[in-house]
Amino acid sequence: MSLFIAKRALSCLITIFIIITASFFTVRLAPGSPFSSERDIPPEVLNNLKAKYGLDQPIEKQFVHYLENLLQGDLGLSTKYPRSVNEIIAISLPKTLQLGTIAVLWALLIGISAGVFAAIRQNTAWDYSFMAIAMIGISVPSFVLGPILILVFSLYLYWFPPGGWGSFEHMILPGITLGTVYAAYIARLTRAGMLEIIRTDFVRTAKAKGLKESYIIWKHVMKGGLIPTITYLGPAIASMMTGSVVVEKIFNTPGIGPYFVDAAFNRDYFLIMGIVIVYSTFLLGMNFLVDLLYGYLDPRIRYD
Amino acid sequence: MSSTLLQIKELKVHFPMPKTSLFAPSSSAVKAVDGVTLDVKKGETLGLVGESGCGKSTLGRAILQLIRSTSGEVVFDGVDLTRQWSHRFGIWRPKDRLRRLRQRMQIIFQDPYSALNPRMTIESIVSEPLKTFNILSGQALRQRVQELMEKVGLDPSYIRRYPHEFSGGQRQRIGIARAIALNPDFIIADEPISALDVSIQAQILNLLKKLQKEMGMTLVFIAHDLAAVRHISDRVAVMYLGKIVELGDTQKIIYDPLHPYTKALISSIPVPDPLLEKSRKRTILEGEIPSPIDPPSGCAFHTRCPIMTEACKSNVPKLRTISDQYDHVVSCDLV
Repeated sequence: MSLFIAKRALSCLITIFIIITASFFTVRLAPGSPFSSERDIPPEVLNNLKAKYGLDQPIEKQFVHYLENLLQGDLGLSTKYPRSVNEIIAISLPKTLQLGTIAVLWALLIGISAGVFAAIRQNTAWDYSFMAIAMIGISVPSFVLGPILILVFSLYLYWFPPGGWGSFEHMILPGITLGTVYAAYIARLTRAGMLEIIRTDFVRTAKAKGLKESYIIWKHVMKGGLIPTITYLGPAIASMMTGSVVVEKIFNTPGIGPYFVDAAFNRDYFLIMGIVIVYSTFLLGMNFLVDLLYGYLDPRIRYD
Repeated sequence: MSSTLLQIKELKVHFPMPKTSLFAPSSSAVKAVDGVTLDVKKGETLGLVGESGCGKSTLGRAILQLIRSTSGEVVFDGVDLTRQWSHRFGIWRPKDRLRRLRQRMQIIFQDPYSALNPRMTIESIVSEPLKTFNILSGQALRQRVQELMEKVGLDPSYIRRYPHEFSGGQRQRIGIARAIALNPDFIIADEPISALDVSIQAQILNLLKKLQKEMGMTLVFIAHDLAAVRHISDRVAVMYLGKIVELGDTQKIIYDPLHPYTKALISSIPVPDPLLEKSRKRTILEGEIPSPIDPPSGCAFHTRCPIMTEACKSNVPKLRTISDQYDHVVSCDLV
């Protein structure tokens, strides 16, 4: 087990290194620079700017320098905002994480319970309506769902603020908007996974033992039936936790989401890199957790 | 003779088929069990025999109400099991009374590979029924599990292992340990040996025989051939297309079968003497078992029967008592 963790940790590190290298050079290869704008900047100013960010050096040197700083936890300076990338992430990421937590909880709660409920009632009206709602949840984009939620829960019912940041109430609507698509996917995956297990012989054995239905579902069906859901949860939680451009724009949340797009548009080299690193670390970490969960859910899986 | 433990009356299990087209008149059904009437006496072993697909496994599950039957009655010790269901939120659920009765009636499944939860240790598999009904807990529970392991011929130290670490025969022993954990009065063994190697089959058969004797259980033993059943059963019921065609004392069925289908089944058992085997006349059935969705008219066996007459195509034969002494009943108008 510990050997498995060590091996996986090493492979994660290698993967992150490859991601950093690839994105570093791809961003540099793209045409334009952080300082290209409609107005021409005087060459002296441009040189000064380049020198400030170390962009006057040969690219290999810049890369080595970047890695050195990175190892010390320094993500560099933003070329657009008057802040370091560390600061930007430190300010915006916690808000996105809070929002993401709401979204994840919503997605899990609604997704898994709807999936289980529908699976137990396969081919009944309940099943069909739950899956139809899930299909709608998948199809409706967040830029439609968000405004609808604002309209209903803020402008008519006055339950939640329509946007902004500050209290727990501010997180509910964007959290739900962000989590709904995932809830819908999770519902469908959970239903399919549960159905596969419900049909197995050992569940029939469990019934024959005289176990209670809720116990059978919980103890015998869930463990195997949730495997597809868990697989999906790795990348899903990573995306929810790192936020969404659209949702954070709609609700005017000061999270990390909008920086994804802004950084790319502004060719904000170091900010792009910083966000890529945050996102890929999340993704790899989540997938790592998922692999560990498999072992808990299926004792036949051996880690070696 | 002894009293009746189980009475099955006109039991039917029909599985509805999905409509093939939007304008199909009415959906058809697979008539897996189509009107079975049968009594099982306390302490006896009843063999239930028939080809694959004749509905014997479905009958076994319907007797225990592991699947809901379409109509008919299953009276177990005075309780009609078919009434122990309630309809809620779009599905049928077994009532608590049915669930509690499972302490007294158990089943051993056909496929020992799939019938055990691969994610649970042997200890939790075997102890689960005891825990559910709060019979034992803690150290006493573990002791009981170890006792059961010994009873079915397994090393008690194996209880921490998972099913995939065992062979087919061992797994079937685990399945048996699980089934007898609650000291049930009644066990259905649903082809418990058909998935096993021939060398293991006899072991499991003897184990079942031994346990039944020790514990005084009533046993319904399902098999697709008579060879296994003749050694263990007091009486044998022969099934064809969801119906019982002949029932009687094992000796009577083996040596003096009346129904042409039973005769064919008996003649398919090889005789271990090559000279005898060569000289004996065998009845070999032609063709496949007809579809239970649309069974043949009249006597369901008429499509393959060697002694079929015109009347068989239209007259549905009823079970008739041939001999009271041997409980011998048969559903063929020609014998």
